[in-house]
Amino acid sequence: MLTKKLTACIVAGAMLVSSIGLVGCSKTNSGSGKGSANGVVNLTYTTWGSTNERKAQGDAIKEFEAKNPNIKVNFQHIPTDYETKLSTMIAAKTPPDVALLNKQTALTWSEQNKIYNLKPLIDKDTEIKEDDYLHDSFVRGGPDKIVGITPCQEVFAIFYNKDMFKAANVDPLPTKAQDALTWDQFVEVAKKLTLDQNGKNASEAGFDPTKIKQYGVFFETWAWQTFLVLNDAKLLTDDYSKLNLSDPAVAETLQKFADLINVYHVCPSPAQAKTLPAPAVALQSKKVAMDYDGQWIQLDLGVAKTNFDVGVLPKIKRCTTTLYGEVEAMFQGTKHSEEAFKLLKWMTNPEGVLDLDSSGLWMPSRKAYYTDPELINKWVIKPGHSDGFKDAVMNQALNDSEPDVGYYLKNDNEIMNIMNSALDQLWMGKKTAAQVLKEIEPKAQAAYKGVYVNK
Amino acid sequence: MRKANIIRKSILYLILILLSVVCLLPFYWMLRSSLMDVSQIFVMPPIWFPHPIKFSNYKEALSILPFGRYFLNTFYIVAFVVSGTIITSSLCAYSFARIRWKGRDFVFGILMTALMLPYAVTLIPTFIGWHALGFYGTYVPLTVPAWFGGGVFNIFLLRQFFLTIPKELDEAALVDGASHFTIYSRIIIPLSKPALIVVGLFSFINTWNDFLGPLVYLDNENKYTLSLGIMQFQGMYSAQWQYMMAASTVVVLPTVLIFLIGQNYFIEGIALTGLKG
Amino acid sequence: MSTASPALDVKNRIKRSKSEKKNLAAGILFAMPVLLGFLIFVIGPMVASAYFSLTDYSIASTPKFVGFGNYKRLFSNEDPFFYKSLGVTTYYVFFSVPAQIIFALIMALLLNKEIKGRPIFRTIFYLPTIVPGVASAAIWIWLMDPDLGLLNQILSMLGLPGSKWIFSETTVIPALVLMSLWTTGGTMIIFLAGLQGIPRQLYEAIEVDGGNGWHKFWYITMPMITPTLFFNLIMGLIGGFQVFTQAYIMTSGGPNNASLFYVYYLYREAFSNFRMGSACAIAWVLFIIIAVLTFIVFKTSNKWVYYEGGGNK
Repeated sequence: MLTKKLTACIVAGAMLVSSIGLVGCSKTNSGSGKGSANGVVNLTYTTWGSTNERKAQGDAIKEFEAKNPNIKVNFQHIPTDYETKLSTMIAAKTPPDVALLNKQTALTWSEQNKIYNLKPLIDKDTEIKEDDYLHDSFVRGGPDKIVGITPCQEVFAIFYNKDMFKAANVDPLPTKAQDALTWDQFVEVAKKLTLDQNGKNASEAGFDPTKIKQYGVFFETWAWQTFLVLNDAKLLTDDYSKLNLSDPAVAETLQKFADLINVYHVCPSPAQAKTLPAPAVALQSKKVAMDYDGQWIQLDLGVAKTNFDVGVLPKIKRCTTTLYGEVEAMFQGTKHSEEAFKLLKWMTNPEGVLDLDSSGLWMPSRKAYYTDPELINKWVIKPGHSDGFKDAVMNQALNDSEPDVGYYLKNDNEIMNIMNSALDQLWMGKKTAAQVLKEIEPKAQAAYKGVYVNK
Repeated sequence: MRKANIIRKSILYLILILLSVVCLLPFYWMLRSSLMDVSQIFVMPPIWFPHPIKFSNYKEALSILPFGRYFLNTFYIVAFVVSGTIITSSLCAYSFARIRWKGRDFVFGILMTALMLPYAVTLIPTFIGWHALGFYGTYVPLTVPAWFGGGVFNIFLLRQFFLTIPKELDEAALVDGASHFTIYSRIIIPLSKPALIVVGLFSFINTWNDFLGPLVYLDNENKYTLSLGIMQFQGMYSAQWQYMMAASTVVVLPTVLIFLIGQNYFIEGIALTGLKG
Repeated sequence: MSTASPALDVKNRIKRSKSEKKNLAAGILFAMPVLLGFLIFVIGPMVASAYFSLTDYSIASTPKFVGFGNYKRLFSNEDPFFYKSLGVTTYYVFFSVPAQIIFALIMALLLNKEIKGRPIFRTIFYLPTIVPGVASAAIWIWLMDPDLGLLNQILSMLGLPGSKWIFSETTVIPALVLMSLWTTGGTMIIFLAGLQGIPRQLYEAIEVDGGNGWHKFWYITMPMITPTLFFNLIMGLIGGFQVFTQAYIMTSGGPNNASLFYVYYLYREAFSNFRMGSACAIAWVLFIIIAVLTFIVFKTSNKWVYYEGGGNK
């Protein structure tokens, strides 16, 4: 009896020990900071993205390794909960060497000195010059702090389904800023493209807004801060002392967009939007005629062979667009800053990630790719790019684009959480923009902590 | 009497079939999405029959990522976890249900608190701990804890079951001079088959589908598991739904199979013979 | 205890304390895995998170001690989401836990009867728990679409007004409670296992005495099921307060924070705002709430839980 108990314990113990042993044996020597063995430097690079992004970045890494035989890169594709995973690595003091990051995250972490300040490296470097890059490609956390370099610029425009325009007898959208539609013209276009189940469009009598088959326009409500530039309004006051929420121009802009949903019924409400597929698919399946979105949807549009084109944003007061983008950053814990910087430079060089640029998902961050016709032809190719792309998107990005608040607003995540949940009421038509802003202002202002740099 | 019975049974079947249809919907959605072109997946109202049927999605999905390796990795982890959980959680539950020792219930209460703190805050300290021991990038954090009781959830579950087994059986065995271990292995375990199967089933399914653990503790794609692989089809701005669903269908099948098989061992109401005495 | 013979009493007492010691040793030995596990894997992170809750810790920096500052911030309403999420979560738990238990019990009873294809039915009802969240989310969004969804169509066929389901502040929690019913497969299985453990003799005995279905249910099934019911109630409470996925996948806490579940709010604080210290404080408030409620339910269990094996005596 006692032996039985003993035996059981021994067996259990043995299995336990062997399991640790077996597993311990399979521990490989990967991971950052493992340093160099016989002159080979090991780096870790992390990114998110679907499998085609993973492939394109993976290929770029392989090319880098080929060009730099003394550097080996552990390319880690983190499919979900990206910041959670990186947080664990940082907390355990084994961050990656180089990583693709959200600019807000990079800025927040640089405040805690977790991000490597690239400025000294850039100053020393002979290859990189800020002038070679599109404006705001170097993301700054302060006057002397460069937090990261953007590998992929992004801007907003109106993407539309050409077939739907033809069917509704509507002219294609203008691609040059000087020809931009006024807001009222834009609304009229959207109305003509919104059809109910009986085939009536939103400008005709007898149109039934409860039975809409096809929407004229779609926009993501979280992108609301990008709408403001169209009305020449700003989210922050000019002296950067607080949020500019009591400015009537801000309320006016948001109200105009909300009216698309609740007054003209040309845009789906959040409820209706949930039943729509992703914008690219919605465009292709003719659920939505126009999509106010970032150029990244071109990848899916191209893959789905949608007959699409793109136009400049309509102006309320001004036709411009908002610049968006993520950054490649280095972590402070890196043991090989020179090699890591080499990798960072490569990943921000359009030459390395040409596949991603030509697919339509990314846009290069180097100016030459916007001005030199030979380079332009390398990436502005179908099916990921349409005819109107060069004027409506590429030139706008180069000449007339404002950086998104994420580039400089501190505590951006919290402020947006507060604003977005309050704005739900606006998009649902329960309150006016002015009412919502007035109510939420105290809470939002309390969360305002200033800016990293003035823009 | 007969007629009332037939009516009752028909109503019963009707309710069950209706509810079954509802429960089958997501599974069917997953299956039909795996066989369509991605542009058709989210069309509203839904297209219920894929046309054309794209069997190629399966081949493509399973070849873009090394699902063969992911399967082996997952299998390895699951084997350790399920065996460790069943063995150690039943041993521990026996202690809390059958052995009278001082402070037992108090200790049990303390153990329950392990379930009350959301993982979001224990994640980082736990991770730092494993990392300090040098086990980051290995399967240890994912497998070893199962051998330390397999989770308070399972111990609590088994405890409740063990408490329903008549004590007379224990006492009879004690009179015959049996040790605790004999009572555990000869009496309690055989009578707890349904509960043990449930524990095994849950631990299999949870480990099979777990992606957060592998996400946090693995540092190399070669060690990724099936659930992580499925997530890899998800991009920042869009996902390759058709591949994701194809992979998901394949990955879900073993769990469904194990569940179907495990049910055969749900014996119908234990017959306790030789109890009277 | 008779005091007929003091010597016998002492002998008995010594025998008892010897067997008590033996039992203590055996008890701890059998429970060793989880005791060790608790000390190694649980205590450390718990203490660490308690400590972090008293600091300003953003993961990327070293923690800075701030005493009860985080807690003060929460309770003084400086954080705009704390009380809201607590209220939302309590509201959800209050309805979903009883609803889930009752529904799972009914399903288990149904699936315990002698019907053809029983294993298949049980598997089907368990399916929603194991299919990917995105498939479930897609189905529910279709079911609950205010204009085209199946549920509203059924309601209109019955002459009832449609609902906005998860798209309105007032109906989002009831809608999520309804959704939660379908992932009760696990609870149902546990009830099934409990039902399996009821000796057939008991039912046969009642039949001999002339009892009908209701007698069987109320006098045999219910009492014998109370241990399982107790388990599902406790786990339902503990899990209910920690509900997370629906907010994460389907509603993002909206509309207008009407579904801002507590753990979703916590997760955001930790991994989106990078304020781990504050997140730990939030977690510990929840911990206390859950612990107190669980303790109360445990204490009352003596009154209503019946253990055939004699219980905890």
